[in-house]
Amino acid sequence: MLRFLTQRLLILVPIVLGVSMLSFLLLYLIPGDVVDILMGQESGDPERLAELRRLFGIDRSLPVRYLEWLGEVVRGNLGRSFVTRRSVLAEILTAFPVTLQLTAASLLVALVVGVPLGVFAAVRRGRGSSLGISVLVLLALSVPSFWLGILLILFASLYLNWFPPQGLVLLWIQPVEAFKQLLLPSLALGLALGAMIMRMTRSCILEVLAQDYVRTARAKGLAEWLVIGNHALRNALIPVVTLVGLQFGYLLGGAIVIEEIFSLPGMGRLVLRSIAQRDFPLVQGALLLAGTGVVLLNLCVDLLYVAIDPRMRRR
Amino acid sequence: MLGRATSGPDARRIPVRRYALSAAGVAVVALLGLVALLAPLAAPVDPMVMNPRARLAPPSGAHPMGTDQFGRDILSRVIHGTRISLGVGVGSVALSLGVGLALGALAASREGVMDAFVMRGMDVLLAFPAILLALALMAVLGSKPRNVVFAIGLVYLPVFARTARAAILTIKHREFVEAAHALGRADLSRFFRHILPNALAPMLVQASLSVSTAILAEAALSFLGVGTQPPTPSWGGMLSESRAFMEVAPWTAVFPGVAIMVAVLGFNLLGDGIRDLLDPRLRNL
Repeated sequence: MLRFLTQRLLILVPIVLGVSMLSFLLLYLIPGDVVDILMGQESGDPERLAELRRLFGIDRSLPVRYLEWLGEVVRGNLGRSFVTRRSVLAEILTAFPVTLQLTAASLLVALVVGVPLGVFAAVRRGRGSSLGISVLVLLALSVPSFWLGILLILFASLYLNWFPPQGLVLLWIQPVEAFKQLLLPSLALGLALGAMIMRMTRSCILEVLAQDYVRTARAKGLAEWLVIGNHALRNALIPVVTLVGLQFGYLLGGAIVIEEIFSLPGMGRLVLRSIAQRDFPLVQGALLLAGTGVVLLNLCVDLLYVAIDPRMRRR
Repeated sequence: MLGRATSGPDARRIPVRRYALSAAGVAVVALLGLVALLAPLAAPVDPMVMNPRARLAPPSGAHPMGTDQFGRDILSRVIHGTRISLGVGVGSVALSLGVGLALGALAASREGVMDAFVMRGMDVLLAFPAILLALALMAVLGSKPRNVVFAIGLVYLPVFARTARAAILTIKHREFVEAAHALGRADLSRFFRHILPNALAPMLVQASLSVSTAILAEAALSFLGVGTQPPTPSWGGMLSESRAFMEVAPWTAVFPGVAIMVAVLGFNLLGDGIRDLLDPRLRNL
C-alpha cells in the first residue's frame, strides 16, 4: 500500500509543476504586461512605468520570475487582486465553499439518479422500460446544463411562482435555505453526469451478471436483490468510481456556468468577474487551485479503488 | 472482460434499434450540414435586420420562432447560428485530431523520455476543468472565432493524444508491422502504410463523439460572453441575451436551446453508430 501511494505521489510531482507553469505562463500570453493593464488607458511617464516594472519584477527573466512566484505560492501567497487589492487566496477561500456545495449536491443528484436507474435498466434489459430509460439518457446527455438551468428557472418562476434564495447561503449555517438554493442548480448540473453514471452502471452490471460467481450465488438460492446488491453492484461500482473521479473536473467547469445563471457567488462568478475586469492574478490563482485540486482528487480516486477492490493493492 | 457480457447469440449483430438511432444521427448531422452551407438561402430574412415594431413578438406565421429584443427573426438567427456551432465544433475537433495524432505518434514511437514528456504534458492539460481553461485562454487571447477554435481544440487535445498513443502502441508490435520492419521498410513508410490506417478507427470514434462536446463548449463560451460576439448569431450568445427577457418572451430562450440539443443529440447518435461499426467491444455501453 505504501509503495502504491509513493508511486502515485511521484507521478503527481511533474503534473503539479506543469499545472503551476501553465497557470504562471498564461499571464504572460496577454498582449502588454501587468503594468500596461494596471495603467489602462493612462499614459504614464516612462520613468514611472520603468519603476513600476522594477517593482513588479517584470524586468527580470521569465524562469527567475517563475521560481520566485512558485516560492510565494508554496508559502500560500498567490498575490493580490488588481481590483479589490485583497489577497487572491482570501478571495478564493470566500467563494470556494459555494462551489464545493454546488458540486457536491450535483454529484449526489447524479449518483441518486444514475446508480438505481442503471441497475434497473440492467435487470430489465431488452424490455420497454429499459428502452425508455435509454432514450431519457440520450436526451439528458444532449441537453446543455445551462439551458436546463434557464428552463428550470423559467418553470419555477412562471408556473410555480417560486424563487430560490439569492446570495451567500452555506449548507452548514443555513441548511434549509441552502437546500432551497441548491435544488435547481444541482439538478441542472448533475443530470448529465447522472446519465453517464447510469450508462456505466448498466453496462458494468450486465458484465458482472454474466460472471460465474453470480451464477454460483444464484445457484445457492440467494435472493435476486442480494445477488444484485452484494455481488453485482459492489464489483460494478469500480468503473463508476473512476467515472465520477474523472468527471469531477467537468462538474467544476459546469459550476462556472450554472453559478452565473443562478447568481451563486462561487468560484465561477469570481472567475468570470476577474476575466471581465482583467484581474489576472485571480484568474491565475483559480486555475492553479482548480488544476491542483483535480490532480489531488484523482489521487483520492486511486486510493478509493484500493478500498473497494483489495486486489489493486498487489499491483 | 468486456467480451463476456456481449457474448451470446444476439451480441454479434447490431440490434435494429441501434441502426435506426444511428440513421437518425446521420440524418440530423446531414441536415445541419446542409443548413449551415445554405444558411443565406435557408433563412427567411437577414438575421441582423432589426424591426423595432416587432420586438419580442411571439411565434407566428411571419416569424415561426418569434423575434428577439431587437425584433430580429429568431428562426433566421438559429439557422445562421448553425454555421458557428458546426464550424467551431468540427474545426476544433479537426485541430485536436491532427495535433493529437502527431503527439500520440511521437510518444508511441519514441518510448522513454519523449513519451513521458509528451504524456505528462497532456496530463497537465487534463488537470484543468475544460471550460475554465478555455475561458482563461479566451481571456488572454481575445474573443475572435479562430481563438475559440484554438481554445476548444487545445482543451480536448489530451484525449486524442492518449487515444492515438494507445492505438499506435498496440499496433506497432503486431506481426504485420514487424514483418514490414523485417522487410526493411523505412520508419515513415511503415507508419503511413501500416500503423496509421489501423490506428485511425479509434481516432474517428473519438472525433465523432467529441464534436458534440465541442459544440456544447462553444455554446457555453458564447453564453458566458467570451466566445462568439454579438451581433453575430450564435446559439449560446442568443441564450445569454434571452435571459433578460425570458419571463415575458420564453421563446427567445427555448429555440436556441432546442437547436443546441438537436445538434448534440445528432452527433452523439452518429458517434455511437460509428463506434458500434468500428469497435464492437463497446456496443454494450
